[in-house]
Amino acid sequence: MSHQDETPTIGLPQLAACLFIGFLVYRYFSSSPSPNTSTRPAGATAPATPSPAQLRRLQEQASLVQGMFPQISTNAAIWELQKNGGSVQGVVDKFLSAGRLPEPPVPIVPNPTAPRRTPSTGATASGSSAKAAGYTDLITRYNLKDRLTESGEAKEEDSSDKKGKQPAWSQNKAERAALLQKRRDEMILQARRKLEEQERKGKGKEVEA
Amino acid sequence: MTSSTVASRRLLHEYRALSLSPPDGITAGPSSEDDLFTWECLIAGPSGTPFEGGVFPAELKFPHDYPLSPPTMKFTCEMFHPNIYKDGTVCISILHAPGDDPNMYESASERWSPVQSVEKILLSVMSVLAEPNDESGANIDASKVWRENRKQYEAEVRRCVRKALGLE
Repeated sequence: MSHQDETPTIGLPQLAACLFIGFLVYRYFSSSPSPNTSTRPAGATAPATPSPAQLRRLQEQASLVQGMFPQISTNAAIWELQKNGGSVQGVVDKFLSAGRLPEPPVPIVPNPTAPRRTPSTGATASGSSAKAAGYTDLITRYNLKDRLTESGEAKEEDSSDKKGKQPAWSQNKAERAALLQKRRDEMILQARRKLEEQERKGKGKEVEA
Repeated sequence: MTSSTVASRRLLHEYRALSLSPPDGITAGPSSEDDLFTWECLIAGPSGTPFEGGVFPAELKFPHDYPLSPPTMKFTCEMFHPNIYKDGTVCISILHAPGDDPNMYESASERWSPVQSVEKILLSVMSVLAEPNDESGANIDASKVWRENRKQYEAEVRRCVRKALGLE
């Protein structure tokens, strides 16, 4: 009997107070990492600007999403990831159910990959020549026009150069890039000269015949 | 250690190996070392094929969980080949993770796994240039021409060769 007398001390007001305090504590912890979210109206979906570390993580997750659906832009993926708290699964589900993802009003990251990614969706489009017209040839791309006219001496120098020292590796970033570029240029120039020579010979034969 | 530092380290290692002993007819490396995840490659056309004498540029894009997932490869010049999409994307088994098999014919051993490498991809692409795989048509027009009119196929390929080298 005395036991029953003690229990009523936790009444409805106390319970309400406990719940209220619990709620405040929860709010405090959930909003503390980004204080500006609490200043926004409750219904706003716009997340706070991510820190560089968060952004890197979001970009990694976005690239996972893009691995599955290349047509999703990095910005749209990050925007969605921010909204749903970083769930790749959530982004994929939303994309599959809605068919598309909204772009953020303000780009979160510069999106250099987007224009390059779009052609993959156009793979089924007909007319290869129309698309191929966009490609620049190797001579133009690597600015090798001037070096094409270099004399045969340079050619020999190139080949002896190749025998003399093998393409090497440098500890220096810039040197490495230069070495790679040199090998690339040589490969293109050699191929171009050889092809031109072949065609000259071919034409010569035609004339003889 | 995050997955992307593993990937960077591995990519740098492969770049080094490919620079120290480059396979014949292949030049490959990052477009810029600020971003190790995008590479530019040059592949020479295999001799004895219509691609002979050509040099073809391609872009490799690595995922951040490389080498767990394979990179994608895309030629950045016009290509006419049964296993290369019209936009340049290469479709060969080594670029497909074991999990996904869009064509249902590839054995797991041919497909991507972390023991493969950039070098192996590029050599595979080179050999597929020489011998197209009729089972996985990516460019339907090219597949058809390759099967039915070999002369026309060769002429189309020669045109691509000349075009890539700025002769057309």
